Amino acid sequence: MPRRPTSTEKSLRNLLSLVGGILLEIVFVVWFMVLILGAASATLFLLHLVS
Amino acid sequence: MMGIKDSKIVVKDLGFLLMLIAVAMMIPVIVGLIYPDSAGIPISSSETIDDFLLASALTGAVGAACYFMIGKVEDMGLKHAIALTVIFWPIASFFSSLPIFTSGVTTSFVDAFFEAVSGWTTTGLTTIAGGGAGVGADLFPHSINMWRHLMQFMGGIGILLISIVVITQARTGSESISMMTSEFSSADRVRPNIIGTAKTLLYLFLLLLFICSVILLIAGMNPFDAVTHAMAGLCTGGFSTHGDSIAYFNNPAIEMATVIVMIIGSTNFAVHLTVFSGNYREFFKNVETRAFMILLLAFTVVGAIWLSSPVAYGAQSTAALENSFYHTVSAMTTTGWTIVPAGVFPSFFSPMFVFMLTICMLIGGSSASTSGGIRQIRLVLIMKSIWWHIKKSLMPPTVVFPRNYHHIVKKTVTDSRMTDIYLFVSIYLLTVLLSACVLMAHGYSVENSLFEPASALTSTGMSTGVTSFTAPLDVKMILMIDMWFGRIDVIPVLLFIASFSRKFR
Repeated sequence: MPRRPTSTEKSLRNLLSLVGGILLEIVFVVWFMVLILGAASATLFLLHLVS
Repeated sequence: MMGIKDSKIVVKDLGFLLMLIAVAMMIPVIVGLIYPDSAGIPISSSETIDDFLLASALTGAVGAACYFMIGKVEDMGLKHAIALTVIFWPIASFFSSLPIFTSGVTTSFVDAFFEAVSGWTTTGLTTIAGGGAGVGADLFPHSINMWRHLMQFMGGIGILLISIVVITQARTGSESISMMTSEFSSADRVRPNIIGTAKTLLYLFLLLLFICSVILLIAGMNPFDAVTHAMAGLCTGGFSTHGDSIAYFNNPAIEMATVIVMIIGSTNFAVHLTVFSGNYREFFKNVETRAFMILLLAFTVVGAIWLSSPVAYGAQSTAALENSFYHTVSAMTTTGWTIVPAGVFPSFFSPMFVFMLTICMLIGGSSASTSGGIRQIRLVLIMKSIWWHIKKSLMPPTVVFPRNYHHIVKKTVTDSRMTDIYLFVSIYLLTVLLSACVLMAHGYSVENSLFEPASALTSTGMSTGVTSFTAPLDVKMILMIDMWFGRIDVIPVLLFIASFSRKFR
């Protein structure tokens, strides 16, 4: 029968998953920034070409 | 109507909160011991230790008197929750302004109080800490700077806890009341258990604070600046330890790092917890994060076009894009940091760009975050309701169509909710216009007169220079009232005032 995780192990696991979640969200935000800056630059470049 | 019995309930809870503030005042004392002196600063941190100890003793004594002298009281109801929410901010600001005033960083109690109101409401407007390089916050001791940022951190956590815990604790709370605070309706509740929710939020904030501090440290800030700016950014406050705000650092890595902190701070906490629990798609599916992405892109492009056009001031495209992006993020998240030096702001940007930032501030960040403003969910629902109205008008009367949107789960909009939203937006915009009239009476330009109250009401903290040490007293007063009204979303103040009327017996 598998051993039940202790409360310390449970807390540690929760903390790790939370830290992982936060880091993943930071990656999302960075990706989102790159996307917006890229799209904005492209729009400005196109406008520059048109004008 | 509020009676003596009701007042006792509110005062007892207020006393408990004041005792917590008294304990928090010990943190600047510790900072004062770690950084006793700094070169070139007129008042050293060690000189402020007795100011914080005295203020802590006074706050603690008043809090203890309120808490222990009132015996056992009934459980808190909705009207008590509203009353506590309304009176807490000015009272907390009064006690928090004491160490700022007695330390001697300002000779005016009004300015010390203004700073504390701005801190607790997570606004970031300042009459004493701005002004440019080498003045303002640059000359403050570490202890005072820590206290300023700590107020924003506690104010940010406080507004979330009050909106989620206190309002939901008041079990009679209607949907409209929950919405008026932060749209944190029953489906969004982090956990059904209230204490559990409060603890989860506190742990999450502390963990986010640690991670954001590390990000800012890696970007190039010193440890003290990293922690204080993480506190201010995470709670979308906007205070800085420098008179020139983020422009002081003149470092693109720090600019980008602060953008990350601001966006995380303005994201709905229910979305955070959904993502952290493994549902990663929610970040991209959520109606508010989608709205934020679209609006940020649109405003960044429009702003950059204005800034790079010869009519405005003809900035280079990259500089225009950088300034437009940073200030749009700062305004929409209602943080208020800037990357242009103080004093240059009004002349650096065209009136059109300033007006665009006013609109961004009024839209604000996500609900259930520390951001202010009308909030994206309300804007989205107003936009959708216009579309639904057109659809309804053109379709046969027998056709029924769903009025749904995705926010954690699929939700349906009711007519009463839409009425609440329109009511809120009307009162919000009316408050901005009335405040702008006061500023215009003093001869400020139309765009500045709209910008400054919008900045105060939405708890942003950007300034075109109106907010300063030399500003007239009534302008400072009106901005303080705006900050207070805006932080608790205006309507609870009206409900609180109305609760004293005999008509509502």
